[in-house]
Amino acid sequence: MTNDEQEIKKITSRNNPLKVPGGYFDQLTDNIMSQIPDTPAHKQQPATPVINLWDKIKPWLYMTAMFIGITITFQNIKKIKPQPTSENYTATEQLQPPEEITIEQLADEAMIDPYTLYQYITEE
Amino acid sequence: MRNLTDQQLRDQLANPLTRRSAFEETVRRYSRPLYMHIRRIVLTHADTDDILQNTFLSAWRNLDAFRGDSKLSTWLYRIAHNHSIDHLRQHRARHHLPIDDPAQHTLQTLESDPWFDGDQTQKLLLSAIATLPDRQKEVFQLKYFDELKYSEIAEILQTTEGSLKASYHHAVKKITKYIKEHTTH
Repeated sequence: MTNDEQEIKKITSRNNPLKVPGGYFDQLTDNIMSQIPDTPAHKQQPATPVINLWDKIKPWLYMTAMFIGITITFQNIKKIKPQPTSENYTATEQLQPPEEITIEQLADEAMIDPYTLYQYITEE
Repeated sequence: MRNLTDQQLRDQLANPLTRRSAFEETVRRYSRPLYMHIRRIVLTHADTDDILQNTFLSAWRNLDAFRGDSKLSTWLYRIAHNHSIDHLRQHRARHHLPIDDPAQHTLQTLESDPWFDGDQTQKLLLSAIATLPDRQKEVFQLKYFDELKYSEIAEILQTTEGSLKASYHHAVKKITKYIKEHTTH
């Protein structure tokens, strides 16, 4: 022990200044043990749940049924709604009235004055 | 049960059938030294009581993690020490305590605790310890008061024995210097 330690020892050799209430340690053991459950710590953990085969395949079964349902629904929609063919497409096009365009609009789009356009048409 | 060696107690703690009674003996055997260790860190009896109970409850919950590589006492000291340091940090943060005058704060805490019965010199010693850097403070308390070996302290504080010896040496020097400076002749 060094001289410095001996010097500190002089102080600490006196009575312990950190007092404890009477009977504290006796009550402490009972108090702590009352907070601890009877079963050992390792048995307190919940047992691992057992998953049977039905529970394992159930989500996959639901997902498959859902995809089959969606496929059937789309196929039915296709059957109900007729697809446009090349023949009826032409007929539809022919039924539409031609768009009317005035000479003024045509001249405006061609960026020439209407008089020149009239001249050009009459020359033909 | 009371005559069991430390090794026998550890064996009984590992056995589920004797675990509870062995733990009761552990509490009875180590509550006093752990109490004093915690008390020297947090200073008041009320805080020490809370931390000590939490220490044992924490030890019970983690008994399966105690592999027996270290001594039972060392393992318990480590839990108690960590709980005490956590408590100090939370206390400082909650009360926004200034850290520029730890000696003064220690004196105030001691004087406010009805379970402190020390004279001026003992207050001076505890104030001197409070002025040390955290690591020196920890080493000094574990070595000087708890009389643990350097190898045990190294395990508790998770550091090397070489650095502990140096820290302890510095701590003793600073404490004696502080006491000399503050003692009125």
